[in-house]
Amino acid sequence: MTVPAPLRFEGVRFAYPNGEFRLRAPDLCVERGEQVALVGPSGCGKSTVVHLAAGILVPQAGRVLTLGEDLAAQPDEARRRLRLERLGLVFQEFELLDYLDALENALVPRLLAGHSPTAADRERAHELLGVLGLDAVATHLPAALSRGERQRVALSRALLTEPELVLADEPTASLDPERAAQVLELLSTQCRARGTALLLVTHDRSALGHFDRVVDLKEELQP
Amino acid sequence: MSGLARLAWRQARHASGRSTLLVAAVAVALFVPLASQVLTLRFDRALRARAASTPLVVGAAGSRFDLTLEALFFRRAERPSVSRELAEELRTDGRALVVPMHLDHTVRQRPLVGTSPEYFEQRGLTCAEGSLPLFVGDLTLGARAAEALGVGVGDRVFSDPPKLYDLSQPAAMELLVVGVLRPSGTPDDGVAFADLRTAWALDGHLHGHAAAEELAAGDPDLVIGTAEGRVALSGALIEERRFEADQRERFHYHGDEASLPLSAILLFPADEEARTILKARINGRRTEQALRPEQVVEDLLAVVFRVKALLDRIAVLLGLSTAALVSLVAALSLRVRARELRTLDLLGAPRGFVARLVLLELGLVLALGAALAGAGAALVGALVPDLVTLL
Repeated sequence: MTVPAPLRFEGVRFAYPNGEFRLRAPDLCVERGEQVALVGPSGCGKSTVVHLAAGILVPQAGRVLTLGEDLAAQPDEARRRLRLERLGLVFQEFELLDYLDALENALVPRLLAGHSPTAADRERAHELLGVLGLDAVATHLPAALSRGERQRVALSRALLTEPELVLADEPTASLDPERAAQVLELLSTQCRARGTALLLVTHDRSALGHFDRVVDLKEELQP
Repeated sequence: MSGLARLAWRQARHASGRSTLLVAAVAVALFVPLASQVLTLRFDRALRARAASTPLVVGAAGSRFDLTLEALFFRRAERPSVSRELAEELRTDGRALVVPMHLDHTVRQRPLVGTSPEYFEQRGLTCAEGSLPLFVGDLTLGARAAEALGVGVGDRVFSDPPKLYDLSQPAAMELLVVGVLRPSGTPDDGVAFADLRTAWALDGHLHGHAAAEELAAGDPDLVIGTAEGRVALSGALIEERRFEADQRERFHYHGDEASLPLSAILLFPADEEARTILKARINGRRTEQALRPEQVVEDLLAVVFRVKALLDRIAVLLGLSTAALVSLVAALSLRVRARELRTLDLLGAPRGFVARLVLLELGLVLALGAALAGAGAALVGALVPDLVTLL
């Protein structure tokens, strides 16, 4: 029995309800453990591709197969569960909860699942924070962290559930080049160490060396 | 603690200023009606229970509220007295058990009730230790009074002089505590009881000194003169200020004992007919009045409940303004937190999780506010034990 690719786009068409933006996504396949960079000019639909892959948006045509699941065929609750339990999501603006400290932010997927974090969860979160160099700030609130530290906390949150696929939407866009390189390095290393597939949206072409493959949305969509 | 509860608690703690404001607003909005309800209920129960156990109150004509509150709750009032003669007349009539009351004095700021042994029988009061005040100078304390004064059987306490700097008034007298009553949960717990003769002695009507012959033998100057069996004593004579066992018999009254004053008379008629007859007969006079405490209390409660109705209206306004404040703060908070709540959605929070989170946060605020209001109302209930005394 063949294991399905973590992410596959097949003939996907999407338009926002107001009709202002239409996307004809390229047929795309991210294999297990593969790291793919998605590049393209602003407004070409890179973030929309990530949202489709995460099941936040549902295509009007074609299929998005995330971890083997046809998301369009799934009810909203199932798509949410998949996102929470099996995907890792990283956003441009970190999206940390400002009333939780770094450790608790890393544990947010467990809290959202309605559970009280177990000792094993805490151990795992501590381990991730340690690997990402955040040991000393584990009890700090986001307001007390630097931007680079905040994004690393967001990475630990994305990796807590040991996801099979990490979707990162311009995670380094708001960081200075040095910190951006650090974060990309960490993300790439952590995903590779766990065999986690990674689809990362970026407009920073200097960072593309980290990736197995680069998909340029503009080129892919050219007639 | 579930993930949802943990997030709600952390958020409430993080926004402590906002949470405190909301909790305080909710607490105040709930405290006003709760406290007024607690107090009026207690007031209502205390008044009604006491009134129901007292069929008729007789006293000098005047404010019926003052007479009722003084006779039932020992609230002091500047009212004219009635004479002992009235009590004797009612006793002779035989239609009711007559309980005279003298309520003009205090012992260390607590009412001193001069009465007869029938009072204790009618009120169902019994001694936890010691005995009832059977002799002049005896004092039996209500349970709360004994505790507050820190005295027990065998101790001596001074009465309060009526006017401290008026030398023409009788001085304080030393009274002997002979008993402490069992708690009854009524105003009787907070007062001191004495025999009527003790109260009259405190008035200065009764006084005690050795016989004239004995005085003359000790100091001839104390006897100014004698004529037709009457003896004139010097003003230098120092009267007894203590009621020692061997001196009790020395206390006497030189006038007509029928004219000795009483603050009120409680009547316990044999039946409804006797009550009606007695009430009509006494009210036929101009100088005295007979009241059914239940009726007076009803009128008093009507006033109290009008005040409570006003408080209730204020509470409704307070509640509405608090609800508006909570809604406004919640709406603004949701706007400020829109991005955070969107993040929870993006990360895959179950459907309705965000709504449940916000509701739980609000519920937490309401629960804390309600708990504070409840504690405050309970505190008010505990710290205001006898609202009747505030009237």
